Amino acid sequence: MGDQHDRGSKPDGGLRTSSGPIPTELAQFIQEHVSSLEQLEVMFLLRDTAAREWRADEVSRQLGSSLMSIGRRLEHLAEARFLKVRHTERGPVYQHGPESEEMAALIDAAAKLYKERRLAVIDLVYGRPESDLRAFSDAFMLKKK
Amino acid sequence: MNDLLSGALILGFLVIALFFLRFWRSTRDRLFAIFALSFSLMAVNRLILAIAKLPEDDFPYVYLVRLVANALIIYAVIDKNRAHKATPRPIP
Repeated sequence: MGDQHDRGSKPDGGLRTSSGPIPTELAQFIQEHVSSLEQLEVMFLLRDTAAREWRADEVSRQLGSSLMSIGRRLEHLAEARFLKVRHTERGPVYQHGPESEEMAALIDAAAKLYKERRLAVIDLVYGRPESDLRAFSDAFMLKKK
Repeated sequence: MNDLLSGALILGFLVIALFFLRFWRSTRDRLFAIFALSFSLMAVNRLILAIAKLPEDDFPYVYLVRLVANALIIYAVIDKNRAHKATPRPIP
């Protein structure tokens, strides 16, 4: 497994990318909780419209993505406690509402990083050196994400 | 057990444990840490058997260490699944 990142020698041990280190906590958060860019887009859309409740079909239309896939992303984000969910006659509605202040701060930091350094985030999600290890670890999950 | 086989088993378990330890350091995934501990216990178990020359049939308690090691693997898998099974919070 070749390291695609130069492991930073910064005091905080952050990942060093071409444009500087990313705080370790933020890098870990992205690597642990984000499995695709679509999931990030969903998370940030609801964060940017925090006051609004969204149905899966509305998010799907807004992002131009498949309804089934968006539905799964929303469910996963709600299970991970990034979103609040309310069940209505027309199906579940979701709203931005991280479980803790710390989680909210990490989502904000990830959104800022995604705006400023999109490639660094894509690298974290798809190009991480330990993605094979994560796949191995995730193989022990009986229910897929 | 044959000394050669015993040594090979101890070395094998230790190597596997070290691999999992490295995986844990790289990913910080608890599953790997518990796996490393489990395989270390298996190595320790084999080491005790080799040094004390205990016939396993007469000392069934030596299986307890192995039982704990295997239970740890089961616990690691349960823990892995539990970590992702949070209940969504309703909107108040």
